[in-house]
Amino acid sequence: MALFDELRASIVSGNPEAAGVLTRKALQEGQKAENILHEALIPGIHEVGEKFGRDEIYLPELLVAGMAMKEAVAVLKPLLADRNIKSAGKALIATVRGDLHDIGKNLVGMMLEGAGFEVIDLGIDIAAEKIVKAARENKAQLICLSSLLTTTMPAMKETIQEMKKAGLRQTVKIMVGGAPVTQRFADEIGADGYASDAPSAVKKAQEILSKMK
Amino acid sequence: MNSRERVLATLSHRVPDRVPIDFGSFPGATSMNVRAYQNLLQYLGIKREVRIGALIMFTAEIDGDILDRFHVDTKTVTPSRALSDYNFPEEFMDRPWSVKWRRSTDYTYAPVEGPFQKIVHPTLDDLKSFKWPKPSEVEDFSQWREKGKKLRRESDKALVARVPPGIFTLAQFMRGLEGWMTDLILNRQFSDAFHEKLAEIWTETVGGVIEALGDNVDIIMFGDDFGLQNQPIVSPQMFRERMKPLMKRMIGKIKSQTKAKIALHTCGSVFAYMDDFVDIGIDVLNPLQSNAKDMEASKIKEKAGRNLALWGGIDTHEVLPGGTPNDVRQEVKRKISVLGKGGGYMLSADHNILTDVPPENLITMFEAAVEYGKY
Repeated sequence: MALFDELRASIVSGNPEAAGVLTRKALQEGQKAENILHEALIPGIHEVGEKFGRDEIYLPELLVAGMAMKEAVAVLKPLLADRNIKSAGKALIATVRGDLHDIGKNLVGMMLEGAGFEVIDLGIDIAAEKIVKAARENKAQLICLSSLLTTTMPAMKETIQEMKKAGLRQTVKIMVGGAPVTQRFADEIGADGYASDAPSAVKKAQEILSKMK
Repeated sequence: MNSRERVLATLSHRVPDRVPIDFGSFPGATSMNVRAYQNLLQYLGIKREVRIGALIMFTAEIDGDILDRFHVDTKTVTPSRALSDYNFPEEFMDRPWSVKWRRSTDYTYAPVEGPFQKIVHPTLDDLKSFKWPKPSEVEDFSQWREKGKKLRRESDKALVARVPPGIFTLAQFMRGLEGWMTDLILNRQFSDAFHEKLAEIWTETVGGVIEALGDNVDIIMFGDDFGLQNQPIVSPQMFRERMKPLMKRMIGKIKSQTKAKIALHTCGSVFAYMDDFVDIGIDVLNPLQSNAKDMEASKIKEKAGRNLALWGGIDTHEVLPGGTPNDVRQEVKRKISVLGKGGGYMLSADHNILTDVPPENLITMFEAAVEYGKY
């Protein structure tokens, strides 16, 4: 499977152009979309996450690897949808009310998509009510909240409370992250999970959702 | 020992009479959000117009009586602006760089759009066609000159100049953080030329500030963020290949023009770059975020040795906003005992004070600094 190795390498080295070209080539050679995804792309992005965790690569490399993954997944998406392949889960991501920072949230979104999640990005400065509404409308299984400021961290707690009030807290898991956020804070506000960076957020999301099934 | 002597002694790795204290002399990151400062003044029963110290951070210029009250040893020589000229706008444009900033609910601002942000693959032509500011459009040198003269005459505090942000932070504002990072790898030609152009304007502008201030400055400081919470923003290898040579040239040039100490503000986890900062010619490192990875006080103190003076250290993530006054006292005591050993340390909060810090905690920080800071 030299082609799968090449494709996997294009993800690890962060080459979006090659990732797109090689994915199309694999399809032309008759490979199934789900095999390309599971045998080349996901192992690739998994390796990226491991390298990031070991400080072998840094944020710029992680970002372009995520872009390469996105490029390849975009080619496969219509085919996967046609065959009704189940996504890893449906996740809403948002930076909470009052906070305009989006890089951490975007990275988490990108990595989740790469791991096969369906991701709905609500954007920045998103009020609790809006998150609740989107969770209900989209039947989300997971909400990932981001905050960079100590002053906007309380909006995470508020969002969790609104989810409770709306009666959605049992069916939707909530994860939090961002520079000033800690595991202790996550526990205090009753979040289901905390992660300190994007690759660990993916692991955490998989772990939390697997317990639900 | 007056304030200036105290600061200069410690930054030169001599032991002063007590640990010097900074508050707001680098309005970009050691000051206080304008709204938070208004709250502090109200708490102290003081009525007055607040001035903006750093527009993009929307921080206050801390007034002289407040500095004296808290035994602060520094004062910014950077020109400030009247709050009434801005009045908490929803958005404003940072003119010289054409970067749009937007207000959050807590009265802090974040960069939301830069001139190169929407271009998918920017080219050298995009750099050429941008209307780059002249140094005199970045800084009003006559204001610097006047303020320097006046403060040196009236004050015995160490004078700190906040010069424009470092080129990598500026590039991030102008291109957006994601675009900037992507370019580093996928559009190297643009990325390198962009940094070169900014380095040229930065060096000329800082040269202008130095010329205007003459001897009326003790520390020249700029912010250039190289650290995230858990690791540096780029690999040490990339930093050494792509960033360090440019910085070395820039700092070398300004050091040939002034005797002032050169201080770098960089948030987050930057332990891996500390030796490089010394090579570049940085004298002082701020803000020592001890909850970032590898930034434990004892670890950075050991690494800094007598090569790099340290400035900052008091936690704004948890202790100042969430702790009790007693937690604040313990934090100050602990940081002074580690970072202050043998001199080489100036105390301040490790970032701007936001609206979530109770005034009692801030006041306690200053009181404890005087109490525990005696050598």
